[in-house]
Amino acid sequence: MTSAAPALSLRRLRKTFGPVVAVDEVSLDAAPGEFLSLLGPSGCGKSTVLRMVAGLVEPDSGQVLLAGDDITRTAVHRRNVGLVFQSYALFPHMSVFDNVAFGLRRRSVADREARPRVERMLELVRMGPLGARYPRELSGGQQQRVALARALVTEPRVLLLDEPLSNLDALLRDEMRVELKRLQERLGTTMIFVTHDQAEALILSDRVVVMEAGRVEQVGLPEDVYRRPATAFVARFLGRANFLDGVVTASDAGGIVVALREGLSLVAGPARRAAPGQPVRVAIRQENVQLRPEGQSSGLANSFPATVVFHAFAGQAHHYVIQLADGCELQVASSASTPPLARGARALVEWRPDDVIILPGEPPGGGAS
Amino acid sequence: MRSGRGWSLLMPAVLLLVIGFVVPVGMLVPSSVHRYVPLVGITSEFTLAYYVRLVTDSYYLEIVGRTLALGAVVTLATLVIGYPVAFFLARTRSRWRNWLTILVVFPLLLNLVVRTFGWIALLAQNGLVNQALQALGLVESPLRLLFNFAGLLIGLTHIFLPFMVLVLIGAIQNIPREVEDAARVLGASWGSAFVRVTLPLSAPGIVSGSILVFVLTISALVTPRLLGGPTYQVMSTLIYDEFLARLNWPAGSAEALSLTVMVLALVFVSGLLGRRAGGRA
Repeated sequence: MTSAAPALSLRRLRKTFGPVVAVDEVSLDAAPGEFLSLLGPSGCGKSTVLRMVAGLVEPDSGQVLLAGDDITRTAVHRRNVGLVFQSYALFPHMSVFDNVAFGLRRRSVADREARPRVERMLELVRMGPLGARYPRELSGGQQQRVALARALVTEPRVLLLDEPLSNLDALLRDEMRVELKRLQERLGTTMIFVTHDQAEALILSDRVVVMEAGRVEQVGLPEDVYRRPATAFVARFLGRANFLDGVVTASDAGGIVVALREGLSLVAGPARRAAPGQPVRVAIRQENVQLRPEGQSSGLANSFPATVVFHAFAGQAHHYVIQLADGCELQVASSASTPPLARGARALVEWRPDDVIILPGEPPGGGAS
Repeated sequence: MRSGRGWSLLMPAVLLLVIGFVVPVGMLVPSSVHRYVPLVGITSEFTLAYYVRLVTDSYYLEIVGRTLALGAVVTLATLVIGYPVAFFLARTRSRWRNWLTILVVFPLLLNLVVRTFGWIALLAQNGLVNQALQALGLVESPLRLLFNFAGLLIGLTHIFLPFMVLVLIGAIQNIPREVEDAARVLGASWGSAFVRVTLPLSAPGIVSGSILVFVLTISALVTPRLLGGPTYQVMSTLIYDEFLARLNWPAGSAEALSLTVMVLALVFVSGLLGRRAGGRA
């Protein structure tokens, strides 16, 4: 094993269930100690990828490499990976201690050595005094911690987490996120985390893998996939954005100009492969649209008069729907600290050219969404 | 739910139990302690002789022992044969699954007497089983498979197997597959995961299936009568003969009550065991 080998490497993994292609030629590398998230809607194949790494699902083709070793055909129980299930899957007939000790006992670790290891791991997940309890006597969050301890105590080469937080209520979920991240930083375990919750993926991950329909749409740092989504799917799945179709009319090193189908023109930052005449789809995130009262322009390059057609207060933000002069409607989320604008008010919407996301466009006349 | 409503939901079943079980069994008590004199009838003389002879007379002791042994062995046989079938049916994703389950239940649709006569044809001295064994050279002279323990064991195992399988299917289906997966990912081979996780978690099903088959076996009448003949007696055939052949109602009552008490004691004890084995699940 060389230090250069990725902790986990997937090479062109493919899996079909009958006529359905669940995972389509997925290739990925996870560096040692990395926290990698597989993010996508349900049914996108992310859990199947995880189960193929664990050995619970056999791939049709492709390879799984763990620290350089090909484990594609290795039996489940010889892989030494950890897996945390959404349902936790604790052994209901065993105490917390026996649950955590299970993996060590299967590896014939002597009780004398196993006991302190189990106790240390239970300490680490703050379940120290509860070793004698049974799973049904624990809350969801506690069961979650036991499942983590059980998976980590054998020091697996990679820890796989299959939506581990989605059965917890919102408050506990926020708490467990922080705990999970700190645990990972402390132990340095490579973690592959499957989730459909974009906020969770962005907060926890070193890198995010966005999946859709069995394929990888984009791999990148959380900030990259959020700010520079490669496809319309990624832009739509991470955050809330307005999508507009248009054609590039001018392009230079300073930026590009896009003529929207509805008649307005907007200015965007420099974009690769945006030659004049090319159809593009632009995306502008709701929170990047600034809404100002009429006549108070801040001089941004994109500034359009608009009318407020809907307003609602959503706690952290004011939620607006505004209508541009050409009839096009945009969703806007502005800071809760700004004074709200009433429905029907005349206003200005503005955004920075750098906040305009340029996506591959559909040919004119193609269906817009 | 208010506890009052809970109780009212139970009322029909409780009424049926009282009228159909508690009262008749209670009525056995007085009739079991009077002496029966042939040609005279039931006298008013108080006696516990019919209870005493069940545990002292070697003839009756043998019948009691045989009945309990038969119950135990049939239960074990249905468990050993039925568990793999139930496991397969509970876990398979085959589209034939529903048909296979129906196939398990299918024998129940056939009249019990017909099925038992079928076994007589198969197990007789010159029946199909003996003919096949002799043709294959496995035995020299025909095996005695009727009117003895072997015959009853074969017939009763066949008849009660579906009950065991159905109970086990339910229990095994209740075990989340992810719990087995978790065991395997943690380093347990398939066999080890089965022994340490699946089997203990199916204990409640094993206990209730076993109670069901045991109780059905020791109270079965038709099959032991037909496959055991008039001389190879078990408790139920003995009770039947006391009441209807010898008209000795007091003896029959004492034997029936004793059988009921044995069954209740057994159900109670296995309930305790089952709670210990599966209660944490």
